[in-house]
Amino acid sequence: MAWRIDPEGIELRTLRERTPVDGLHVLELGCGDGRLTLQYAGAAASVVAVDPDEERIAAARRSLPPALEGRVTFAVAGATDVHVPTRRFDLALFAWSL
Amino acid sequence: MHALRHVHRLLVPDGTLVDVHPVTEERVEAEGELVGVIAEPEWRTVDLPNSEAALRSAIADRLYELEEETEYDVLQHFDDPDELLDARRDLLEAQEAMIEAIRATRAPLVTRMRVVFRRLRAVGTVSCGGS
Repeated sequence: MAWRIDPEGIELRTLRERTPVDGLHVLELGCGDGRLTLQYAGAAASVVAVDPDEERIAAARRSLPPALEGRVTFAVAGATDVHVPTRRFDLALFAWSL
Repeated sequence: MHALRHVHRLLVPDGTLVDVHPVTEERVEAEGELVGVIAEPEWRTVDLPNSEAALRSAIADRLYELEEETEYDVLQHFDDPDELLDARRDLLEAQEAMIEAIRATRAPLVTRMRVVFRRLRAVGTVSCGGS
């Protein structure tokens, strides 16, 4: 593809250096097509990644490699639509979405 | 309820919130030279200040403590000017001069946005009936 977003990897490097996700339960808000999600999810215990855009979530689900199935859940939702019975996320990530 | 307050209820005690968002409009560059800026007046004058205000408010209300803040540039690379024009079609709709400037450049094109990265720690608790 001729359009490449952050091929230098600045975003991922900054996240890894400043906030390692290793073993954490992560909630990502505004995940879009999962571009960033799929780069860090391998280190997390679990990831729930949401975006209100159905098409982008569909693209994210298509991109999910088998190795991350069961660890990453993509859902169509806005930030305030996420409800869980107990406080369960170690890290919430607003990725260009606040 | 603002997203920051809602998300506070989803985090474990002392959980972490990371907010990453652009703080500048998108600069278009070719061969290291500035072609122009893709103007987003509503984002610049409304959305961005609102986001910053919401974050300041959440900190002032002691929902979060700011632990770290840094800035960096995120680049997007386009081999073909038409790719950039297509990707930013909605934003460029009323920016004829910018469209022409992009068309007149030689590939490859790079867009640059300054991004702020903030890491905050969730503190305190929020009652379920709060807003």
